[in-house]
Amino acid sequence: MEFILEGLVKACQLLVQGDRETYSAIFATVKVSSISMTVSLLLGIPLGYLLGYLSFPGKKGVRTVVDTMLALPTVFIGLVVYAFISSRGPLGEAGLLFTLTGIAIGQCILALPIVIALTATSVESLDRVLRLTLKSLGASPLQIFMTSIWEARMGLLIAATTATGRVLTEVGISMMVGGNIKWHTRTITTAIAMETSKGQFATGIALGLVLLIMAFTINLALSTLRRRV
Amino acid sequence: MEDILRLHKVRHQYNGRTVLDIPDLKIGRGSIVGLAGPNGSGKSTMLKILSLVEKCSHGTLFFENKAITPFAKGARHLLTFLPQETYLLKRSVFDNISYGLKIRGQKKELSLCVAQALELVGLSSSFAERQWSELSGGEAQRVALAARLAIKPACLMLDEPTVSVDMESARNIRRAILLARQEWGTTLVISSHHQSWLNDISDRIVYLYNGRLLDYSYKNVLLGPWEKFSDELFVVKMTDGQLLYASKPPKAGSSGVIAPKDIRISSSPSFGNEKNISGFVTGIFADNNPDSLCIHVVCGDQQFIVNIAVHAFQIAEIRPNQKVSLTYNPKDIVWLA
Repeated sequence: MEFILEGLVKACQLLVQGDRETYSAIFATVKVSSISMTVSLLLGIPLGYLLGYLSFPGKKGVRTVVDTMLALPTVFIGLVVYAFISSRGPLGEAGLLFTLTGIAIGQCILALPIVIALTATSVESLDRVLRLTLKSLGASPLQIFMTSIWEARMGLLIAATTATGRVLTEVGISMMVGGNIKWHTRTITTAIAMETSKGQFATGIALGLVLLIMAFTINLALSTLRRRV
Repeated sequence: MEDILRLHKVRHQYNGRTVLDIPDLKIGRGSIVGLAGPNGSGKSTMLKILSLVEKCSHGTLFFENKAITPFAKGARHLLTFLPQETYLLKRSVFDNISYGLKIRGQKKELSLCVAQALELVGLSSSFAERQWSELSGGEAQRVALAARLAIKPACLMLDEPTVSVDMESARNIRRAILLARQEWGTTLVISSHHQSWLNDISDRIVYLYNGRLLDYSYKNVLLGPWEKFSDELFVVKMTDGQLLYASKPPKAGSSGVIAPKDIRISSSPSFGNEKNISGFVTGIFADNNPDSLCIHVVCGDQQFIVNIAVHAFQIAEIRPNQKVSLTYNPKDIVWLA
């Protein structure tokens, strides 16, 4: 118990004193998760809308695939991305291995099914009269899309929150694709894993606290937004 | 009267089943056309096609003599539809009413337009600040109508606008749509089961049955289910307890029609092989034939339209609200397919 308390105290010191190594991992996490979430939302919301809005042959099959991908283990995604971007892989020449971009690609694969599936569910649960109402008021297809997305905003916020939570806390992709390189691709989660294995509980706890604060801040911001809209 | 809308050889199908089959139907500019018919007769489908919400499977919809389809530029901003199930966007009343204006690119004088639209439906401008969730069913229906009126449509299609509202809201809706026609020459197509309301407001009634237009001369549609009364007679019980007699229908749920000329109206019942039902006169109107009049009589929830010669009308001394007897021969009821 004592070493945990000591760790907590030292964690506060590291954060207050602005320990460079700790803050490097924090900035790497913020940067990579921002990129992956931006791309996932930009791609996932329109795709989820189409999946929820349209009726087409094979829709159930597509939905099953997307739902299955919700349970993808992060180490498996890391493995697949590694295979593609390693020097022997088809995208090896792009030089993405052990970069934050490589991690972001993996995290997109993790977040995209979540955003697609939850957006599709939100759009499907919209009142069927909404589409009829918008068409009857003379809306164009783009205006119908934009208004439907706004009507489904609560569901989309939940999708964004859930996906962000997964991306922030994953360790498998960051470790396998990023390689946990100090000052470069070390993220909060990979740093916690490494520091703990080295017996450096203070740094691990400090980073864990930061992760908790980040998750709490994002959730607080989104729930405030949810109340306002 | 110049035609503003025309359905030409329109056939619409759902899953291979034909739900609407209209060889030709023209709607005059500035007219109010009532759509009558039982549930499932194709009224809502016709309104959706007329307002470009749905594309007909076959045939053509003409607007101002030009063939149009859903999302047609120009036309989609002039035609609008108020569905039976009102949907308000999860926003304020102001945002709901101004939505149609905004998507048409109008940015100026939104507050004024919203206030005018609210006034048309009998709501004060303070309603604009309310949220969608703070409205009663009748208020929501009127706000939805205000959202359509705000765009000053050339044609407004209304599906059962009075079905779930109280008497006052029904009166306000009637007033608003009549004002729309008066102010902007809006053409109105309205479906309703409320026969007397529909007859009162419409210039012309179109009857639909199983997706097909019914001969205008019939007008009196009698809905089942029919129960066996004797070997030759079947009956349907009306809401006031009276029995309406008919010869054997093809099916218990069949609908029949009887022409206004086949019903006699008098102040007292007559006896014989014919049958009588009593009701109250709700309206006396001019007929296309100058020698006859059109009398609307309500018996329970069933409205009958009866033709009577002008001289017979004078002798019978029929007045509005008078209790009268309608005499008909059950064999004159024609069964619909």
